[in-house]
Amino acid sequence: MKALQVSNVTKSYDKDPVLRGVSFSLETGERAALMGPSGSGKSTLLNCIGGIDRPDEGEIVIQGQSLKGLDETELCHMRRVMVSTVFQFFHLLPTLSAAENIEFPLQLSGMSDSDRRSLLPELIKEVGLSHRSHAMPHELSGGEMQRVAIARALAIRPKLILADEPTGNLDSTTGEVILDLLEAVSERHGIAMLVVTHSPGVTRICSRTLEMRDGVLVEQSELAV
Amino acid sequence: MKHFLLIFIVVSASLNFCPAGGAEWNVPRVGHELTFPKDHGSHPDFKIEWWYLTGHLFEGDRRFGFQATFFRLGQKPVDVAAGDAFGESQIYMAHMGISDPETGRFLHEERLNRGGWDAGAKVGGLEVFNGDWKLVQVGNGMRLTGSIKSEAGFELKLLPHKRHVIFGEEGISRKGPEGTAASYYITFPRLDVEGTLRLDGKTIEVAGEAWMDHEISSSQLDRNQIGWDWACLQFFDGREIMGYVLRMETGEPSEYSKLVWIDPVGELTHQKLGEYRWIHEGEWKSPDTGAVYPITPIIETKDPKSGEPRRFQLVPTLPNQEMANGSGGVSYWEGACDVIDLETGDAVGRAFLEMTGYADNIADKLR
Amino acid sequence: MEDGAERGGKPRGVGRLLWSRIIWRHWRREPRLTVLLVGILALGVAVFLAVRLANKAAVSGFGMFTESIAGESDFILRPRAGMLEADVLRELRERAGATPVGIFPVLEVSAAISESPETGLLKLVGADLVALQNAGTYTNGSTSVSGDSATGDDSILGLPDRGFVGTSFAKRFGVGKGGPLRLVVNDKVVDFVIAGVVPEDPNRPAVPENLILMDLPGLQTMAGLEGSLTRVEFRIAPGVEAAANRRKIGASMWDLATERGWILETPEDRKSSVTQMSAAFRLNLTILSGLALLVGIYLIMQAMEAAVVKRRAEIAVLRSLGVTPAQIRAAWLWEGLILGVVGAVAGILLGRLMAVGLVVAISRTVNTLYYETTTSAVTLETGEIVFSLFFGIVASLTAALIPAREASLTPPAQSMRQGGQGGGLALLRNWPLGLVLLVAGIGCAFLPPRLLASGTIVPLGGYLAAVILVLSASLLIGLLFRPIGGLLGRGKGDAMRRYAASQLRRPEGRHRLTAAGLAVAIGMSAAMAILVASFESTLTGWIQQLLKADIYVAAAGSNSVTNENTLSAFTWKELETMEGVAGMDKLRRYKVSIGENDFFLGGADYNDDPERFLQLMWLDPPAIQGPNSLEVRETGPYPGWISESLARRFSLQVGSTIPLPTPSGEKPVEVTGIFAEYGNETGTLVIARQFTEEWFGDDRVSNLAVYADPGVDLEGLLGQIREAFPGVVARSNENLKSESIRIFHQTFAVTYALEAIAVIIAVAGLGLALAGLLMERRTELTTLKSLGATRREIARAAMWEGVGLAAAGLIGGYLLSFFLGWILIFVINPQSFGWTLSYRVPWMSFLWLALITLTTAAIVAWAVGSRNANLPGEREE
Repeated sequence: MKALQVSNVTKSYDKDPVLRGVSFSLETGERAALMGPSGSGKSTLLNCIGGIDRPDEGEIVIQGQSLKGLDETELCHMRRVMVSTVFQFFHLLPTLSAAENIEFPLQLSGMSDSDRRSLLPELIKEVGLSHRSHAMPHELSGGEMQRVAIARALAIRPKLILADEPTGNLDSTTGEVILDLLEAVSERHGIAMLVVTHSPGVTRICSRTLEMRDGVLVEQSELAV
Repeated sequence: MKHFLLIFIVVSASLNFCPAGGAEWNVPRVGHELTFPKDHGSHPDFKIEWWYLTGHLFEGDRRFGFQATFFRLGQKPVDVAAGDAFGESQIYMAHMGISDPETGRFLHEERLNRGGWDAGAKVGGLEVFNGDWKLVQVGNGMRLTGSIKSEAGFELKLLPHKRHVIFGEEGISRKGPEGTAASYYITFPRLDVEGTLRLDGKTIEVAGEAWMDHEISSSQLDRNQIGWDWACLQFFDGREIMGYVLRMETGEPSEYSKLVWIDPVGELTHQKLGEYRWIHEGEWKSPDTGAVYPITPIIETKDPKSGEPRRFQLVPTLPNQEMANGSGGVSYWEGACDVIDLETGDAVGRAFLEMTGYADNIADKLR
Repeated sequence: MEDGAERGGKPRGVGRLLWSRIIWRHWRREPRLTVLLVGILALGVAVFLAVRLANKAAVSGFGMFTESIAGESDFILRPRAGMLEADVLRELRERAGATPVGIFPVLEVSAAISESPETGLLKLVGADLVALQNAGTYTNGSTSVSGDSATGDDSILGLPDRGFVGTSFAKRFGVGKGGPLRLVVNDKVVDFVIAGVVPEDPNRPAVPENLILMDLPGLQTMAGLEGSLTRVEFRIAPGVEAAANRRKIGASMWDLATERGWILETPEDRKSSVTQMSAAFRLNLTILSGLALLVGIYLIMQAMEAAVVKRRAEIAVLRSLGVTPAQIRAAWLWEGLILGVVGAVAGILLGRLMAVGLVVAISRTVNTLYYETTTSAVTLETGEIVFSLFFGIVASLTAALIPAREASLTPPAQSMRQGGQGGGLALLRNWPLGLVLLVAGIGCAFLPPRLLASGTIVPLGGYLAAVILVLSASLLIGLLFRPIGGLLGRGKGDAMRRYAASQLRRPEGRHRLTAAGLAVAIGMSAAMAILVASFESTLTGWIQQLLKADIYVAAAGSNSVTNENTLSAFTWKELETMEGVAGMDKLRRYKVSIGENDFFLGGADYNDDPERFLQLMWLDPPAIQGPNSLEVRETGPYPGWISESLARRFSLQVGSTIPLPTPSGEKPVEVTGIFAEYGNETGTLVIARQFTEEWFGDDRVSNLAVYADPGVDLEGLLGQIREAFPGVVARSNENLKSESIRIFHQTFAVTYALEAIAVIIAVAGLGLALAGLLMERRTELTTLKSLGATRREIARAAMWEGVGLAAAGLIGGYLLSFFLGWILIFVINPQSFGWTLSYRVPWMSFLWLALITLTTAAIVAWAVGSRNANLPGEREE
């Protein structure tokens, strides 16, 4: 079963076409980089896949589940159990501590207290933040914040992680570390990843590059691993 | 008699008094001897009575006209009991006016009060008052205190230049076909005046001449009459004329109109309509009421001394001397005039002219 | 977006550019938000203005009949006690001499409508209807009651059963010209006829709806007051010498008044002395309009702050483009000013409308207590318009000040991509200052009151303390968030609740502002509730102790403190000898004045059975109590008991001597006891009725307390009394007690309504604040959504946050109310009226208010959350 199947997706804002028939797919555990200039429709595509936006036409299927025809609540549920997002600006909830941020989606998905208590240290440990788990977001460095975000994304054991410029706001050294972390968790848990990026360096953890221009995929190149 | 209608209209319109049904009012009787000074006082057994003063005042070249009128309308033929603060048997009305041709102002105020603490008239001697306004006998003369709002005030001493006269035949002045329609009509045709006038916050000494009527009656006017023109003329030669025409609905003057010449010693010459004419002349439209008054009338009469026909024109010192919209909403024109002899064109005297029934509301109230 | 003129044209002023490009365009693009802002401003101004207008309208017409019929008087002459003799009129005219002045005698008598005493008291005003025709002379030409429109077909001069009414009266009682009306005057039933209806005239105040105008001698006859006057009014005609004449009349009448021991006053003096009677009620309204004012400012501040947050990104961009902070601040203040003007104008219109409704409620209350009021129409004077406009603009600018500062502190776009941490309002975090203010406020409460020249006591310290405490509460409220957040976040389960709790644990300026606004509204409302509750419990106790007789008899209309109706000696003597009557207490009440101050004089004649002797609630009991203890002395000083309010107003204590003015001259009365009284705030002096009978030459009584023989059927006795004396009101003990409580509640009816408005506004402010918070947290919302939170869950989070805020406001408000209540009851109240009340907190009402507020807040917050959950995420492409 493919982790993600995007078929002929179109999307316009105010009659201004942003996506004009995009199709591609990701296998389980596969990592692809989505590149292209600003305004080419990358973020819109990401939003559509994440169920935050809806395509005008075409279909998106995640882990065999088509998003078409899902109502708002079902989309929310899909995000809760199958897809996580990692953002350029981390988007931690500023009033929650690092551990609480990671715990939050677990609470949302209704996981029992005991399961959560056993899983949480594991997640924190996995991103190497055991010593900072009670810090508030504003007390964390960029890299640490992105670690929290990744841990939060991992918490629900998703089949697909969408990463929007995950290293865009980090210095290059930290960026490398975060990329390694992303690659590691993907490998370890078999999670497919779609990484939106401007930085060619990111492609090193990807098996494939998707190039977007004016709302269409113009190139899908296999990368040598 | 000239004020009867006015007072009736004003009082009945504003307060709707009970008609004095069944009340026994006295009427003027032929041959009745009036005694003075007693009869300068009030006669509460008669229904209508007024004391009416008009005159001309001078301060050097500056000239003023003044009017001060006290009316009494009986409700019951008894006097206000002494000490009764709010009497119901008598109603008193009073009008005051000052004309000032130099500034073109005509100031006036009207007042209505029940007989009692703030208005009244003494029986047995001249003493009438209405609020702060007062007319009392002092020695051989009288004193008049008057004011107009907070604008003007006067305190005048009046001394008869000649004795009073009584108009009419055998002591009564007839008003209409019925015997009861008559009045005692007592007039001081010429009074010497001196005193003070307060105007614009300044007090000035004034002197001049005045005319005073005191009329007592109980009768009502003919319903056919819509108004009247009345005048008193004081000639520089020491003689006077009192004359009036009653205007009928038909436009004709009533046969009860009258003109009287008074010679310097008080001898009277009565003239009936036909022996004199009253010709309407001039037009002045009131800005307040819209009424049009013939303010420069011509009186044609025969001089009893010379037997010659005379033509006099009355020329107001100020066109606007209208008592507009007073108590009860009744308006009339009452003002100081010069008397012009139309043969010579010379001013031969001074007059006061009264015109009623020109403002619409009088005619309306009459019907 | 760029237009050609801009690109190619001359550089424009930055201010103008900001205005046209930013503010104006923003308003145009977001008309709903702009309308909301203006609406909030308008509501604040409107409530403030409405209370003021209604208050003014309801109390403006006190006893001022001539104002409605003949214009306002220049002077009023009245006796210190009893009545004026009509004979004085001639003397007054003589004293005036040649100075022109209109002198208008007036007699006022109270009456009730037979068979429907619940309509309250009527005021019969007797004036000389003939002289009244001259009123036009004194009003610059415009005649007052003119022509036959106001008069009937028949003369009414001197008639004791004819009178005119205004159109409002005719409407209220459904009577017209010629209409019959059965009146009770004193204990006499009079079949009355309406002689005419005075038409309304936009140029003069409406004739009060409870006023009947009669010819003076007719009223004298009707009321058995031949030769008596209540007062004399003086009118000076207009003209160049008006001022001089006014001076002359003022001087000569002042001399005469001093000689005779009368009072000469201007209508303003009189208004203030009469309105003094409703001081408690007015204080009530003052507090309420102050409440509206404060809540209004909080609301405006919240709204402006929300606008800053909403446009933070925009401001950041402007800053990046080189617009200086000062320019940003100026633009914001300009925006505040313009919104202030528009909002204030809208508020004035709205307030005018609200006042019409409010005045009905207020005047009904005032009428119940003080019949002398007229429900004069709400008039919007230039002064009020200017004042409201000023208030609206100042409030708007004040409110804009902090947001403007915040806006100007917004960093340029480059450094704020993360979304700035909003909410400056640094002052609100300053809880130590709050503590200092708390102490200072409590300290202020102990400042002594100020005594004004007019004899009115103003508890300045109390008011100051209240204001300082309100400020202090605003600062201290922030301390509540952490514990409330902790409490809310405790336990397992609901992630959204814990998320909401985390927001409260780290409150922003807006949280503090919102909670402060709510706390002020709740605090002041609750303080009023404490006052009312304390009042009620004290009053109930007082009534229980006071009302020991079986049956109470009075002339009709006895509900009002200003009732002047009395029972004739014939009536009370008949009653006394009625079968089944064991004895009675008699009281004759007069209004008297010392200096500028009115108070009540009671002539008491208590029955001599020691078992039944009336027990007053003593604060300082007399040495001798029991029957006839007031009659002990034959010559002065005569013993007298005074009420607490009188003691405070005149600084009296036991042993003080009062120079009591009476028609028979001044009599010395020595204070031998002080009792508590809550029936009126003007104060009462009680002496033996035998003395008032002698000094006032009057054997009538105002009230009777009847004790029945043991075993007598009370209902039967009541029926007998009512049958024998149709003009009196006879009530059973129970009936009078419940009636008293009913009137009490009616008095405070308006209070409840206004409190509700304040709380509603505050909750609306809470909704607005939450909307602002959520807007600010847009990225956070996107994150929540990307984590799979549904719209309902986001709404739930908002709901919990709203509930937390409301809880903070409630707790803070209640704490504040305990302090404010304490000030009201122990400082302001005794200083203003001299009433000692026991402190009582209406816990049940508090509980209900809390439940209602929390529920409403939850609903509003949920709705706001639900609405904002779908805010589009900031697009970053």
